[in-house]
Amino acid sequence: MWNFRLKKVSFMLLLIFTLFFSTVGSADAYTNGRKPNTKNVEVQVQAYNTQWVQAYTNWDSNHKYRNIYSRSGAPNIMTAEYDSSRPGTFGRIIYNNGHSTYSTPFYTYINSYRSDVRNSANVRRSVASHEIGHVFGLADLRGSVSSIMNGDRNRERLTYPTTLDINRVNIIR
Amino acid sequence: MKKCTVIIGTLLMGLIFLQACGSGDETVSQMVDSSDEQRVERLEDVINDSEVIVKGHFGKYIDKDNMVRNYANPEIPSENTYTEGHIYEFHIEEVYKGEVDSTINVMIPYASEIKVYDENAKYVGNVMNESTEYKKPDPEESNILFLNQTGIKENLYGPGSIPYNIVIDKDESIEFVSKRIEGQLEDNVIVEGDSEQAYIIHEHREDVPADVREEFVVIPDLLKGKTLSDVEELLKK
Ligand SMILES: [Zn+2]
Repeated sequence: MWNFRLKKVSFMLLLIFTLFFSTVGSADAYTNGRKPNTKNVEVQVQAYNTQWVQAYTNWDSNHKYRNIYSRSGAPNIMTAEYDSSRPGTFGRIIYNNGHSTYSTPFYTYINSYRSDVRNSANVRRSVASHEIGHVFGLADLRGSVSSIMNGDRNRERLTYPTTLDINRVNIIR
Repeated sequence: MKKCTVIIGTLLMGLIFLQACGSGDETVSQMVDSSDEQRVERLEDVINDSEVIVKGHFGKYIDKDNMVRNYANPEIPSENTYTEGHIYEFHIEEVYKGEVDSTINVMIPYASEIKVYDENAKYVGNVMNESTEYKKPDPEESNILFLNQTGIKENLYGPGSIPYNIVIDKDESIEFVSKRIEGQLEDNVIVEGDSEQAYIIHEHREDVPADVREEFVVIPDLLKGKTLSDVEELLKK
């Protein structure tokens, strides 16, 4: 009888601990734990318009649960800056939301200080696609994985999200 | 059985309490600052990325300015983004690459401003996060700097790559200035798993309570096994 109770108690304790840690536990490695706080992501493109629009149109057509489009006065800014303090940086995104699960509103820019950014539309498109991946909750990756989120990618060749990226944002939703 | 119920109940309450604490102070904004960065692999990458490479020492502090400029015209400061750069004189003893005067002005990244928003995305104020490559220049030490023309003003140079500043100690030992170099990672740099991605949480608890998670790549130890003369030999090639 006592043995049965002990098992029951142990089981319940195990259940409680599992529940506790599953809610506290960190997100999967490919996500940064954030996503837009609305289904529709309205953006304002202020510089390098062609590449930003190409990048978000591609994402929009591949994302099953979110829409992304331009609207004047929208709170999400896609632009360019000449950032001489970050010569190794192609692009940067800052989430303008103190809530730990939201990626919007955001401010993101392509760094025109780099000559490869100024000279190549492919590089700009690659950077724009990468930053939008962060909007949809993808995290930075390194190494040989074929992903627009890979910081080591060839930005001249890989300019849009890959099948892996598209599958992942559709899991995140 | 009653005893068990009491134990489980107490544990449950304790865990709920702990979880409430774990979720943190509700008023601390959780901000993120993330860069799409090129990872330098070798010292040669730093050399190739820089127009000007010089040895010398820092002189007097001149001024501060925004290192982020209008994307199409660097003479105009950015209206939306602010990274404070400190301008110092730099007295040159040796030029390895480029053509420069004997004294140049160098703008070094000091800190980046982040606009802080609360949980409802309402603006609450600004915080400054020190650059991972910042160290107050010491005129007593020698440096090798890897630079580019900023385009902001004439004779004003900035980092040609990250990292960009080798400090030469009196015993001729050398080290790049950075909090995020393998083997000399600052304590607050957290590496994600076995990847090369890492981050720092800049904790602000005064006027504007915020945790700013700055994400970046870890830089390999580019000077591993190299002496000052090895580096100078490479630079003179
Ligand atoms: Zn990124």
